[in-house]
Amino acid sequence: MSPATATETVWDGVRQSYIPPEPLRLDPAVRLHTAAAEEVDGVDYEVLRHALWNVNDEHGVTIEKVSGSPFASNAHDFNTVILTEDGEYVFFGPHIQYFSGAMDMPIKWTLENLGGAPGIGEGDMFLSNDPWVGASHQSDVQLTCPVFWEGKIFCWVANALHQYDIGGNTPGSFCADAETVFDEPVPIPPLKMVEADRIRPDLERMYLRHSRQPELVALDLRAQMAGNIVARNRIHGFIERYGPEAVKAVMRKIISDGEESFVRRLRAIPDGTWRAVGYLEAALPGDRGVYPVTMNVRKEGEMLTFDNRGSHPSVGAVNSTFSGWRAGILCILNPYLCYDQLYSTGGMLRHVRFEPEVGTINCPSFPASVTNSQIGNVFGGALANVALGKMMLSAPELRDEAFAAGGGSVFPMSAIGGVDENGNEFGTGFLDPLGGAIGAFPNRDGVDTGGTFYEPKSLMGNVEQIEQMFPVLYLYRREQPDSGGSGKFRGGNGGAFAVVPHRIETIFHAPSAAGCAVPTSLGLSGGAPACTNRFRMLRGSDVRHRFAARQIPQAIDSIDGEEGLVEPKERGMTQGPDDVWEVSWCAGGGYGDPLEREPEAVLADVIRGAVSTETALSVYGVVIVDGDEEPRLDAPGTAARRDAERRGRLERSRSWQEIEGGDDAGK
Amino acid sequence: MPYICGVDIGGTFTDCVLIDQQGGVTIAKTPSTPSDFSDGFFESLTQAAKSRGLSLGELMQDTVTLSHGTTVATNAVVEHRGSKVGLLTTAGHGDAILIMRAFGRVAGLTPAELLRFSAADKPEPIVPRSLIREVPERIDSVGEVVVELNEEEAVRAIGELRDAGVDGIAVSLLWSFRNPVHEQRLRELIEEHAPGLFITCSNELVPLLGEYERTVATVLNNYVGPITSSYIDDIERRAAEGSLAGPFLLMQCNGGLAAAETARRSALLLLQSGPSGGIVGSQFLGGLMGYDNIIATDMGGTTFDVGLVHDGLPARTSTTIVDQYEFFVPTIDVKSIGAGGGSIAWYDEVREGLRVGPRSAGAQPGPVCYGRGGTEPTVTDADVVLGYVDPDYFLGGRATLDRDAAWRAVEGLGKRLGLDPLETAAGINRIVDHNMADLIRRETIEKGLDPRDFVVFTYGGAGAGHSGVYAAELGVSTVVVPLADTASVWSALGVASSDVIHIHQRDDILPAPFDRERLRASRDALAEQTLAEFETEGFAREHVHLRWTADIRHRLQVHVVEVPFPEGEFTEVDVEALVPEFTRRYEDLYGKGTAFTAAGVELVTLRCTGSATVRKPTLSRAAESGGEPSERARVAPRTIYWPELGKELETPIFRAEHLVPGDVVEGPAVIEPTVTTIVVRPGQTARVDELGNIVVSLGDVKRGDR
Amino acid sequence: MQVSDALELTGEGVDRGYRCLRCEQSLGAATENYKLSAAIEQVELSEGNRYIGDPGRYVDERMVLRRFYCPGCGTLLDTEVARQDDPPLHDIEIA
Repeated sequence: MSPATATETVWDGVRQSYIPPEPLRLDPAVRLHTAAAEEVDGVDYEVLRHALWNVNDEHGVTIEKVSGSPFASNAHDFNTVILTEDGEYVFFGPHIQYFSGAMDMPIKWTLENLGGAPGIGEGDMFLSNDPWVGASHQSDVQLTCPVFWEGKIFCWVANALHQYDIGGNTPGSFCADAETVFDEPVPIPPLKMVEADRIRPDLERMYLRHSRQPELVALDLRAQMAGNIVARNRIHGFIERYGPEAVKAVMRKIISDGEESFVRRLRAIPDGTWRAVGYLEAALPGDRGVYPVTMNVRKEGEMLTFDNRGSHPSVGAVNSTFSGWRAGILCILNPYLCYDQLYSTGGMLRHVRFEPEVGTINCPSFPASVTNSQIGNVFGGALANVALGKMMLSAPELRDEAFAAGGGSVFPMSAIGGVDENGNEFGTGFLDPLGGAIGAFPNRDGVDTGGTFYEPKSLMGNVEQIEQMFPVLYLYRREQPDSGGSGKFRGGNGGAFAVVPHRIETIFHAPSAAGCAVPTSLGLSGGAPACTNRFRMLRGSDVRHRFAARQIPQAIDSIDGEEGLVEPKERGMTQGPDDVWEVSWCAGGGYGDPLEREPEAVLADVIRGAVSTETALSVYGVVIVDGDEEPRLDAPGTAARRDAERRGRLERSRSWQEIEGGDDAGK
Repeated sequence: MPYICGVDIGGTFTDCVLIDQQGGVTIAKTPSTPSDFSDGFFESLTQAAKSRGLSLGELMQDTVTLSHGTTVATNAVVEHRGSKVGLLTTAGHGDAILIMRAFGRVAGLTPAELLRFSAADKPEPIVPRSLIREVPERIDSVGEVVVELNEEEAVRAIGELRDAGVDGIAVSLLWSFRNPVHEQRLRELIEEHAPGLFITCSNELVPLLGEYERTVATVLNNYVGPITSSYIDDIERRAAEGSLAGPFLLMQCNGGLAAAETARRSALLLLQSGPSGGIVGSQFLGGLMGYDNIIATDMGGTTFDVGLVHDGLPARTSTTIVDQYEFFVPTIDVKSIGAGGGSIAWYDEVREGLRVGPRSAGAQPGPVCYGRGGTEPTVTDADVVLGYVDPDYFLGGRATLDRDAAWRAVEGLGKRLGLDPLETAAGINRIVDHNMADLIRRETIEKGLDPRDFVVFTYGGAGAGHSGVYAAELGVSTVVVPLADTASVWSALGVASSDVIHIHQRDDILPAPFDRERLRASRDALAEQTLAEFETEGFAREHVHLRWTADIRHRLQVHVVEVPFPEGEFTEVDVEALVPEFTRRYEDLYGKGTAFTAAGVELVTLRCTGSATVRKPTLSRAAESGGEPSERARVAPRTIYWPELGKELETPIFRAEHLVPGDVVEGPAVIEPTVTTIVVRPGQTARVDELGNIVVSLGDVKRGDR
Repeated sequence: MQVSDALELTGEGVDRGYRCLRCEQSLGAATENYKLSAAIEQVELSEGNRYIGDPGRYVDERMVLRRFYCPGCGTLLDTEVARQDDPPLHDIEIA
């Protein structure tokens, strides 16, 4: 499939992704409440800005509490938004950022396509999960809710919540071997699931029929609905008290203030283009290809333009649609350049252009497989993290906000399922890798297991919570020393965990990842990339004997058994009672030259167990005397070692011409 | 004459209250003594004794209860001065306390702070990796032993920690609350191989599901234990020298007192106990006044704290955060935002608008009007500019404020906004008042409670100037400003009036329909544990009141709803009634139709709250008379700007010390006790009650944007 | 203008070019990819981190880690993960 050019593409959400036109082609039946006061009292503004933010917060709290899903409660795997009448963002919620970043599109699509029939009425809510219309992937089900005033659409509130299973050929709905979307959960373009504040029973039955866990999905739908109702009622309260024009003026000003702040920061950056390239692998189980993903960001005056030129054509099951690509970029753009705007992104978006090339891995055409979009969404964000980071290093006042890519640059999804000892079906995904790691900054280290860039409030479940719900026993869950990228400032370390089946014989696995062959958490300014993701299965181990001998193995390499290679994507894999399953996740990239790291900082890392003595020597050139006593620094030895290494670097190096001429340095 | 004594140590002052049998109150306020807080403790008692014409020794001999609230434990954590703790945990899980569920990087930050990655990091470890030892042993989720405890490994680990010079060892194993056998054995091994160390076992302290929060609690208990113990020893020794007649009790974060021995063993319970006194004081005074539902608000210089008393009981929560570490502890639920008299008002260049806080001028340099070098206008400066606060009667005239400087600072800010100084000051107040109302809203409406069913209590230096607005904003009709002598030592009064409380709870997940026999067994075990604890403190079983609640949830959900559990013998019917009661409460919280009982219901936690009353103080009541304040109470009227009227008015001013029970003051007016300023807004009415409190009726308040 | 930890852009017009912040070594014109002026070490991906391992376990493509050093002082300016035959990414182009 050859990428088409943008000019001949119809962006209508059918074959190609939906990209809303400006202005929207509204159905004549749609009536928008657009009036806004020209002036807004400064104090009213501050009071209402705060109050609208709290609406978003309360909306999220409601979902978290009502939802049955450990995804929502343990991992905050959802988010909320408030948007204007025509779908411009006022506020994101504080949870998974790419969920919010994909929610303006189904609302705009609904305004364009559903206004006449079935119509958009008071008390209606629209459910959707179509990645070509604007979902991050099918599992992240969106419920959008128009807020009416005087018979017109005043604004929208909406949320998206990850569903454990909404169908497809694999329990958990991460369909690693899906060749097209027809092997996956059915994408649902916006449909009126809630009419006059009541769930439509016919549509709900159809929706739940897709899922292997319909009770969970039903509970989640109620959580999403309850959240929207809480938010809608609060906004009605503001309108009653302050008048619609004042509330709308506050929304407009929140957006324009965010815009002004964003433009002010853009002005501090020189015009130019910055690029980052990464590689995804394993488009399908058994596939051994490598697929470049490119993120280019161009800054010209008061505009930032992102494009994906250079990205591979769409392939297998590693694609993500335009809405996910865009939302991934917003995940990092928001904390980088709008960190003080309380998650208000609408103003920023007025100065951001997206120029996707169709038919690519991050802008595929229907019916490509897209249910593993979470890989591409987040990886796109991680590449934007690096490209924008490079850009910010050129702006003194923004430099220290930049950081290298971190844990979760590709999330290693380890979905499991089976039948528990009571005969009940179970299924879940291990969300431990949300522990992530933060990449290094220009002036300080990253954070070991400090979470992910796309969820500022990352939260891992306790092992006890997981063991209480699912028939597994953890051998360990720990941080991995040396896993962060080296540098003048070190990337945060990631972690690993290992489980065996408990009280059952078999667990079915459906792992789906990338970033296992090629590292995805890239460094900045010479900082090294962090470790890769890795799945491991040790079969026929002696772990039960070790238990009987009062031992718990603490590294998979220390257990006897047979290890075959686990691909980044597998199908039909099972784990037997003596098999050990380990997942380790990518960590944070480094910043700067590791030979410039303060030797005392390296020593402190060694004492804390974050860096090994060997790595201190081989990577940082720091000589640590590690005898019977507390480790200490050999300062003269370190200086000599570092001098020698700097000379050695130049001796080992060649120019590009030499390398290109076939004088390969590969050893 | 027998006295009940309460002493509460804060960062700046140590407050003491003595209550005699007739309800007569004597107070003392002395500087806190951070180098050795016990010095300040006895100094405040000495001062109070002196006011009654007694020596410290004479007072001790007559003291039937000596109750104490202290920040010694909290300070040890915040200042990283705790003891050197070793941690023994299950093999493979030693990193849980370092990983901090990944959330430790941002725990306790406000949403506005979350997005700036460059500004957030994890805290220093409270136990470094070098002092964590993993022991081979494993128990599973139903309490069965999967791997026997490896005692040789355990003994070696204990020896290593002992040799590393730890002061104590915290033991927190996976699933120990299901089956404590390995933790119990480790305790024995530690006592044998490292005698004399302070030991905490997680199953004894917080037998709840969640290894991170349980381990933090266990480690923190050890971290603050030795320091707290030696502090308590010190006070007990000196009190015994004075032949203290009654028990010495300490205030816990759960809002109740504990005997010194319990506090030594479970020092964790003293962490974050600071706000307890104020809430319990509100509960006590509310009880005397006939109020069961109270929103207790404390607006000081830098923060605004909110806690609730609901149906006569303080609202509690099961986790709290200190220094970014979240841990299990049954604690009074107090939420805080950065809004106080010292909050700085500033011009936001980007929004071209007015903002207030969260930055505070604190006590140093303080508001501009203090004249200590502050240049940025604060909420207190706005109060001075509007005329609410009398610059010449600050702290009862002991200090004067520079109104001109406040005016200039507010004027400077106003010029950028295009507002005159009065409008600017009114704007500052409106923003801070709404921020406070938002916090109350989160703590009431978002938890399914209607603030209109509550009265607001306001204490803290800046509160009574603002409560007339933030209470009205939520539809509350009554504000109580505790007065007479108690207000300035409010926490000490709470400490003196508290019950002894012990809360024991245990996670044991039971699916509905609940197994009555298993429930009964759990309940009996908890009752025994609770009563035994009281017994060691000298309370007979028949004097202990046990209250029961159960945390219930939908199967597959994590969040629970607390449901009262039958007292005494319970029948099958009582047990069956739990599910409908859960559903009712659930739908009250989250809306009709949201309860999806088809998913199944399970009981997660059974909780026993035991309380025993030590001697309760009574307060003297005066007959109400008059209605019309005396001339002595009136001072010269002052020009005050009332934004709701859009104009300045010559406003009557009253000195609280000369108001008597029954006096009524119609707003607009200002009442001036020495420690605060009570603003009675237009349409509101203040009355002095028989206890000397000022009760403000807000009248037909405009309903807020609930 | 500093453009990364150890790199700056100096000069005007045709003289505008990249320079090492540690030793002032020139690294080519502003319009060019400074990496083409760097000393390049091309190593196995697995040298990037102890836990990267051999990509050949999963993929056929030969992947490399490139380290770009200042040819004057040996300071590490950037790292790059690439397919062996791809030219160095022109990642900074300042107008």
